[in-house]
Amino acid sequence: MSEDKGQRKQASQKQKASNEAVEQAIKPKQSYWPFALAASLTVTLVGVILLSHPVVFWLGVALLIVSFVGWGLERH
Amino acid sequence: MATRTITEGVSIARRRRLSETYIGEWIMTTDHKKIGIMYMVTAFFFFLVGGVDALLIRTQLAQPNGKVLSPEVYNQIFTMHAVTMIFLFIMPMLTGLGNYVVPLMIGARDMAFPRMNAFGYWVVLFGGLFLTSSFLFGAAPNAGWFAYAPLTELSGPGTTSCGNAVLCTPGPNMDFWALGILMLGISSISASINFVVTILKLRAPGMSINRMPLFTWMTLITAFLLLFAIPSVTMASILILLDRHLGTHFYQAGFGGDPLLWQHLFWSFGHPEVYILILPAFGIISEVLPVFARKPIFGYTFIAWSGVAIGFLSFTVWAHHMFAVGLPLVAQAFFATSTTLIAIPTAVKIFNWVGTVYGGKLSFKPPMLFALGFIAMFLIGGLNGAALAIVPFDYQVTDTYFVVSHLHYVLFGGSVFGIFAGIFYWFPKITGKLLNERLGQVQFWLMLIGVNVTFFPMHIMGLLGMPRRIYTYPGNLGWNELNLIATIGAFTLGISILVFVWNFVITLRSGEAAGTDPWDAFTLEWDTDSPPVPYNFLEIPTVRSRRPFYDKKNPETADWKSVTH
Repeated sequence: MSEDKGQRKQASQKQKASNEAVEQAIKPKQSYWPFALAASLTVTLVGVILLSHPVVFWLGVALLIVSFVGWGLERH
Repeated sequence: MATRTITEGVSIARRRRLSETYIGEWIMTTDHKKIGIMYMVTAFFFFLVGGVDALLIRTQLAQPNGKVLSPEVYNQIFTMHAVTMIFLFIMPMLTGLGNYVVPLMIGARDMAFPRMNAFGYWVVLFGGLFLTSSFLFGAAPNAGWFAYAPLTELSGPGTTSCGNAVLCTPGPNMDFWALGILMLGISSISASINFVVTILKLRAPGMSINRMPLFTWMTLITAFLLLFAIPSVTMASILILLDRHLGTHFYQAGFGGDPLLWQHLFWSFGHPEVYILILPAFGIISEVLPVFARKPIFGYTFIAWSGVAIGFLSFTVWAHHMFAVGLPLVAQAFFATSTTLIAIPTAVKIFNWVGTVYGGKLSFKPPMLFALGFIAMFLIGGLNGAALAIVPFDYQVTDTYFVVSHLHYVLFGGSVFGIFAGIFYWFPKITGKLLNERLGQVQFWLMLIGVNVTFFPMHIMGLLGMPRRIYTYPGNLGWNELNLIATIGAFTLGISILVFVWNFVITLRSGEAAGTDPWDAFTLEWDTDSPPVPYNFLEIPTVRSRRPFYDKKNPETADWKSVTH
């Protein structure tokens, strides 16, 4: 009886591990570049509103370039 | 010895990566389901913001000579009410539902471009915060959601660049509008490309176009509409920014420009936009009705292709918003005809929904109540819209509360009822819990009463000549009681939303477990866990009919055995 239970537990663990392996294989990778690119775009546009302080605008442009390059070079 | 052990322990431990923290998991996610949830939560937050705007407007107008808001603040509030509800609530909410449900419905494991999907969401969030933050500067957009030029041109001290300083917007108000719309346009384009590619390329084996769920159909059409409509408003926004900051005169009649250019560019986006806001709701209704009538949808092909017809025709009707500007007669005739024409495919859908319900074993659960409420309210919005297509009538009521009534019957009675039908329908799939049925019924009836008490009197206000967007009115024009009734209706709507918030909170805390298929539904999203595992399907299902999950549950009476499509 307890042997059966043990076998069932083992099978369930095996299934779980197999599902996790599938998940790792087919799930898209996480990435912070979409967030970074959107945030950079926002900083740039806030810079357009605050054109009397162009530093915000140029900071946004720099962040945009970094985000584009980072996104493009990210490994999958 | 003890010291050595601790040192070893410390050297082995590593800091958790950003992606392993709870917040980091959400910031870095590319899972369509999480992104869908973020879209929906964000949209609902902005719904509450836009709702507070609406209550402020109605409080100001409840009585003649109201003094709740100053005229300047009133202009900002009514503009931001519309901008928030259209761009930050309905659009993101429908995108969120689509994001969550469409890949599951078509048997896909995710959207085609997961990172671009995440980017689209973050741009909506930041764009919404950007637009809303304009209140902090006392400079929220204040020229209506349509931002008519030359009202939106810049005029500062020492300049008269818009030709009439009284009409201009010297502060950054309209810069917030134009830049915010640019951001939200970028998000819409990225989401649309993603939907188009996902739906066309990632469908499960056997799911031909002719077997796609109707919500997927409507999402596909909406995505195409966005791809063709957004460039027009993007261009218009860039031109107004050039006028305001670089000295061009695209919309300034005094310098050879044309203010009507703005209206043409804006409404050639703005009218397809109405269908962008309503077509996914059509899709939701087309999913909910058959499940709660226990029948296949009546006239699948007509519903799908009437959606395509609406999509095409929606690009031919824009100038019905401009009858009063003095269009040539032939243009008036053309746009009146095309506007009347678009009522045909819309009526086809209503006929099919009624045909679906007719003779069915109806179950009046909250999703069904909202779906039926949608049909009734949208029908009123469609009929008073058809009235507005008649040019002489439009002359009489243009820019009056009649138009406000029409658009709210379509967008609240239509889109919002559709959205709540979808929320009640798919909430069990998303959270694994059933929203409370009794509270759902209370919310529905309050909402149905609220919509009619708020917006029906506006027909009469419009016929009595009350202009839209006015800050206040004298007490001797016969509008007092109607305005008070509309305000009572608006607060009833507010209460109905609070009931939903309460329902949401108690369901998440102690709601009834839903199981995988609480509605005995027909489509593939119900053939997954509730909530689904990250990869959706361990094995991609094979589809043989329009109701693949029904087939799986009922192999003896499977659709593919008796129906060829």
